[in-house]
Amino acid sequence: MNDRAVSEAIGFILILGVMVSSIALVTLYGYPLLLKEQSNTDVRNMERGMIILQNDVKSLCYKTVPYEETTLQVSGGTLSVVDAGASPSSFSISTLDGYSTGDMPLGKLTYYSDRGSEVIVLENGAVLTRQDGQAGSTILAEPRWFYDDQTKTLVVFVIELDAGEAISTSGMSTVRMGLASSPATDVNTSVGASTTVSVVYTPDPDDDYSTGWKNYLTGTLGMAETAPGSNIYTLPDVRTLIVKSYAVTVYGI
Amino acid sequence: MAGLNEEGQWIVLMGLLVAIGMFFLALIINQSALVGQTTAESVLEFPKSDIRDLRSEMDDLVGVLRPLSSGTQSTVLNVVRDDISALSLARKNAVVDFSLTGPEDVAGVLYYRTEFHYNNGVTAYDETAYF
Repeated sequence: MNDRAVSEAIGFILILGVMVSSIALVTLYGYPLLLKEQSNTDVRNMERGMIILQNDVKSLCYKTVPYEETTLQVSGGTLSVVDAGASPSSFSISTLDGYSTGDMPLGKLTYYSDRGSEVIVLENGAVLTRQDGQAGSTILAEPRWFYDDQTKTLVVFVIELDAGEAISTSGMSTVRMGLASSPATDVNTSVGASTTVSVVYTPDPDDDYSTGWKNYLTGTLGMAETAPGSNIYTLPDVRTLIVKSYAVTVYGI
Repeated sequence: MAGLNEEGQWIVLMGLLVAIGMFFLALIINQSALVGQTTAESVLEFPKSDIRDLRSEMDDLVGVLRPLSSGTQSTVLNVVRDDISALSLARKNAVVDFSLTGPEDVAGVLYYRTEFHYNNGVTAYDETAYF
């Protein structure tokens, strides 16, 4: 075999060049993609985690379970509790015939993503999400408000989260929650006469979920918004209004 | 170097590099391990036992009402209906309503026709039964 013009040095440089450039390509394009994918996975996991916590809250409120504990991994962000007293968001329910609950503060469990801009929140038994710094929000898992057509009864649950102080965590965390007191059932019955119920949602200006709540109240419950952006919703022809309020204490996360 | 065949070394080295690369990839993907699955409670939302309890109460109620006069029947019925509605709302968060008519002659036997309605926001259930 004729080996002239075959240089070991050139061959070495060629193969080294191919290797170095492929490593460079992977570092340049592959690694950021990988990081982004991981951040997406973290957010997806946390969405699932929040729905698990929502189930805990449901068990506490609707199934008379006194205490719930869930361990979940909070990665790529922070999970924090905002006490009802420190959170400006609230619901207020009133009827045309003079009944009013006044402002009922909600409190929330919030997950802020470190790398992305996603925010996931558990507020009043619903899981909502929004992009930080942008208007709009969407509801991931609905709360259990309902209107019974046959008896014309509107049942509204208001869940207040109390923590005593602001707590936040990252990594493996155990969310411990308990029902603070026996539920204070507030029933307004006006059998026979139908009335119009009005629901007012007051959002936190820094953490606004009014679009998510609007879609839920107008879509699922069939309420009407009085004016665009007013956050006041009405439902006519209600004979019995039942407002049940629960206080859930978060002992630790 | 003459006569020594070294061409296979590159393949071995490349194989090693690919293996190390795949190891790191697997390590990063493994970081996003799923959180624990929730219990099946969300699947088991159907209030089977609540509806059965309600049905059983209807049966008992008909047994109590049967010997009474029609005027007393409606008084008792209203009181019991209010109690059951209030209880199911307080304990189970469900709206319950029922009505009772009769007795009707069904194939020679007197039956009371009961219609009951159950709604807890997840499940709405209506049934007509004769007791």
